[in-house]
Parts: sequence; structure tokens; C-alpha cells
Amino acid sequence: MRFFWVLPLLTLPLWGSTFYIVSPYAKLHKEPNAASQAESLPEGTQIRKLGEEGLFIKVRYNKSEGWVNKLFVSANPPQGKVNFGSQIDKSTAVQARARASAYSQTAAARGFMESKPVRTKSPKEEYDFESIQWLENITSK
Amino acid sequence: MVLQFLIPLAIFLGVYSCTSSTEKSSTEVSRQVKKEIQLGRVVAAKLTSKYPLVKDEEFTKYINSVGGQIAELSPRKEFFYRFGVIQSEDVNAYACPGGYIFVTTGLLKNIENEAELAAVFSHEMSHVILHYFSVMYEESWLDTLGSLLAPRGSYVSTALKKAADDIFFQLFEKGRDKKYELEADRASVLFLSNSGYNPSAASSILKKIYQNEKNQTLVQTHPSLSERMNEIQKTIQNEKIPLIGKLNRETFQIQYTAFLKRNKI
Repeated sequence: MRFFWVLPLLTLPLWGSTFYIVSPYAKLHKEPNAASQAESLPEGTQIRKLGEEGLFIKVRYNKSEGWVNKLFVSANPPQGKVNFGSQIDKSTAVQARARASAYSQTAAARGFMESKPVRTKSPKEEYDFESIQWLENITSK
Repeated sequence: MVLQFLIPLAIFLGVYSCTSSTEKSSTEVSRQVKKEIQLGRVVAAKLTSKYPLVKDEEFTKYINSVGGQIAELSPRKEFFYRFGVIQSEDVNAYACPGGYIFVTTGLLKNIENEAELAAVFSHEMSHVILHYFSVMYEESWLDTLGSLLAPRGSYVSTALKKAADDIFFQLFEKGRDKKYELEADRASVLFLSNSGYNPSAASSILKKIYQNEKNQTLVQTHPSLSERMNEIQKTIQNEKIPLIGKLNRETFQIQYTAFLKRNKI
């Protein structure tokens, strides 16, 4: 009972997640609209989210508070493109099947599903990965 | 008495040290992004299984050049944004996690210029950017769905099938939350303006979509036309966005006419 006062404190760290400025267009606005007074924010800057209104998030930066357009921030730090699609090879597929098998076995052991996978429609019918591969090849050229 | 104070303080500091460190390592980010793309590929592959992808190289490259101008402005630069045409009379467009975006042949028939195509892509891209799919679904789901990447001839368990069906239903049949759709409308106006397209295209294409009788799926999964138009108008006024910019009607018409000639649609 005596420690109950500490419970609200435990929620404090969850408030104010970190975002990163990922666009040269980003500005710190006085109000949550692009027409309000603003100062530039350099790319890569870390900001703490304090609130949200429409397309803007309220942030703290350099001891002052302001608003940044959501379209100019990311929860991830700036990084290069991840071209995952065209990198799928046989070994990836083998690993994927192994993961699926492990999942099935664990689930079966817990009584959640049949012990053996059931063959549904072939992936060709239900998941058209060939078309996605075609699109990835066209757009990577 | 001292312990009464110190124990809660120790708990607080312990939790704070664990949760306040929200900075992600590049490995962690890369892992998360890969999972998001994996999930996107599975959903996209299910979509193209239902509605065949139109494999017209020239037109696909053209629409990707249009979408690419919007993608340049995306804060999520880790994705390759890919735009494709799927064969369906339904007037609709789809955004899959990881940047896979599709427009139906039914919707293309309603588009008059490049700015309207850019408006459709802007709205869909906003879903990819703003509504983090990887946050919406548990890690275990992503692992499970990722295993669907197994190539042809492999087995798909009933549990995997159900997971893929659920996510497909949630995104494309039940629809997203209304607030996400309106937020994507607001964002699309900004994307159009910042990429040099006339933001008026956002409202002109919406009017045509809602007037078309083959829009049932879209209407069922999106807010009303008046709500969406109102949101667009408010954004234009509040952000003081000038209604100027390129429409590129002729370029679009040349490309689209050639596309129709090459494909029996």
C-alpha cells in the first residue's frame, strides 16, 4: 500500500518518445500549422514528442517547445534504403521455412493447432510473389 | 523509513533507464524495416493474386516516375516506394506496408491528369509513412507473416494463412480508422504542393471517385466525400497553400492512351 504513490511515476518515461528530423524542409513552428512563425531544424536532430495535433507533433528542442510536421520526422534515425525484396534468395527461403516449422511445432505442442501443416492453395494461387518480383525488378532499374 | 523512500526511487530509476533509452541501433532499425517490407510483400502478393498486376513495363515506369516525385519527400527514406497497376473495375487504390502501392485500372479510368495520379499516390503513401504498420502488429505476427516468403511448392500452415487473411481483411476490406484516412487526405495536399503538383487535384479526383458507381469498396472503407473535402479545404486554408502547380494533363493522356492500346483493359 505504501508504495502506491510511485505508480504514476512509472508512466513518466513512456511519455516523450524520440523522433528524428529526416527532411531539409523541417521547421520548428510556434503553432501547429505551417503558416506560423518558424525556425529551421537540421536533419538528424533528435526531438522528444510531447503531444500531437493533426499533422503536427509538439516537441521539445533546445529547451524550447514547438511544433513539427509529422511528414518531416521519423521514429527511425536517417538511414539508407533497405532493398529487401530483390535480395531474397534460396537461403532466405530456407530460413523462412525453418521459422514456420518451428512456429508450427511450438503451437502444436501447446495445443493451439494441428501438429502437421495443412496444404492450402499453392502459393502461386494465393500469393503471387512472381508479380511482386516483376514490379521490384522494373522499379529497381 | 529510508527504505520506504529508496525502494520506490530505485524502481523508478530502473524503469526509467530501460524505457527512456528509445534510441535505436542501426541493426535494430534495419531488422524492423526488413520485417515491415516482408509483411508488405506478403500482403502485396496476396493482393496481386486477387487482382492481377498489369505487367506493362513502360506505363509502370511512368507511374513510378510520378510516384517517385512524391516519395522524394517521404521521411521514411528506407523504403523503395513501388507503384503498380492492378486489374480491377473497382475504383480503388491500395497501400501495403513497406511501400508497395497499387492503383486499379478502374480508378485510372477516372484520372484526367498527372496531378490527380500524384494525389492518389500521395494519399496512399501517407498511410505507409504515418500509420506505422510494424507498430500495429505484434513482433510475433511479423515473424509468422514473414515466413510466408517461402517460395512456390512450399507448405502454408492454417495458422499462417489465417494471419495473412486477417491483416488483408483489416487493411483492405474493413478499412482503417476514419482518423487515419482524414490524416492521409491532409498529408496528400502537402505532398502535392511540396512536389510542385497543383493541390487542387486532391479534391478533383475525390469528387470523380465518389461519383463513380463502382466505388462501393472504397466508400465502405473511407469517410464520406463531404468529410474528406472539408478536411482538404481546411488544410489548404490553415496552411495557406497556394492552388498553383503542374497538372501535366497531356503527358498523362499520352501515356495512358498508349497503355490502353497495349493492354486489353
